[in-house]
Amino acid sequence: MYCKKAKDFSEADILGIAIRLDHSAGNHLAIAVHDGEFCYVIHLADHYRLLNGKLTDQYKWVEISSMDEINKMHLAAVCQATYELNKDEGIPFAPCGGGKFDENGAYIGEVGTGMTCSLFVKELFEQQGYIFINNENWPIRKCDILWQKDVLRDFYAISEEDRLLVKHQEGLIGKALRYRPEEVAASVTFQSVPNNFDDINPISLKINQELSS
Amino acid sequence: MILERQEEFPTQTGSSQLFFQEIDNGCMRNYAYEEMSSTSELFEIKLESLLSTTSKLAIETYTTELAKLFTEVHWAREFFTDASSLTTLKQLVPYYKEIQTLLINEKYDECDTFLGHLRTELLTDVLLVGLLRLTYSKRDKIPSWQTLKEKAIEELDIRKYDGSVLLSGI
Repeated sequence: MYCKKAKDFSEADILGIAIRLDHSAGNHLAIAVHDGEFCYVIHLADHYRLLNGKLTDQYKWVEISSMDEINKMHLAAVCQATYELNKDEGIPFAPCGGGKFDENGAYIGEVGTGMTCSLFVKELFEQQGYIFINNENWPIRKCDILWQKDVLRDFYAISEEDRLLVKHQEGLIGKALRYRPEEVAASVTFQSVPNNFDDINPISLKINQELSS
Repeated sequence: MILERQEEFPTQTGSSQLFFQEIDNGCMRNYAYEEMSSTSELFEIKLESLLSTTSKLAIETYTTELAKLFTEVHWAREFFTDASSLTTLKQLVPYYKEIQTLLINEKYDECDTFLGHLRTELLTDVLLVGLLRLTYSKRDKIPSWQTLKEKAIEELDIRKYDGSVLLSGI
């Protein structure tokens, strides 16, 4: 089993990947943190909605196998500090991505770019030198293109900036790699990292099964 | 530059004299004010509070650069006092935010002074790793980063950790 129950996330675990089923939009990914007193999730919930919320029973969590306690504590502190640095301005949601964190944890992105919930986790980890995914040969799949189109079609653009985002993101469809929540979750289960799509994909399918069961 | 006996020490409103007493194999220097002006009260209080904990301070040597850092970076003094006990998330996050903010504001000289004065044997395990990772991306602008890394690897070895594993990727 790769997925563990939320209630089993303990103080000793410090940091993990939280994932939950979201029937309307695929799975949702977050970072699970235990601060010694409470456990919570940090995640990009929606457009400009960077949240720090409770680790509810809806979530399951996946252990970061290759990481020792010292690095978990460091990365958990970085995640919390980065959340606090960016929570007020928020981060734009964008199905084709393009946004990044700079080396100091501040979100940077040109107009038209943003992140998905998965990219938020992936970029935050990579910014500190923890690389779990080898991008080479990562496929662009038809169903991912459809998902990106669907998200943009339903995007409620209320500002000029939002309309620019949709326009820019439409231009990235078919070019931007999509990392699904279960794939980012699967990428942290290896003792040796980074890994490529062929290694990660079978585990991501098992995680999907575990979430549905 | 290491401050010598009776050297002038800058304060917010002027200067006062201080003297040093060398302790702890010459690495640490104790200090106190002489002829404090009435406007220097703030510093007097803070330095006195440091005196009581000098042996636990994570400062390699006390220099004019460090004195300047203490006047310009409000949390630095507290960090050097707390560094040997920062182990939990709640303790670490406020300092991580401050260090990230320092880098976002491109205060590289201050960051260099900060890292360059750290006494690695008094840093907690997570700080030995975390401070290097947190500042890794700007290491080219922080001359003391490489020295700190070498000292951290030595200290991790003393603590029976594999530095190449803990610091992998940087």
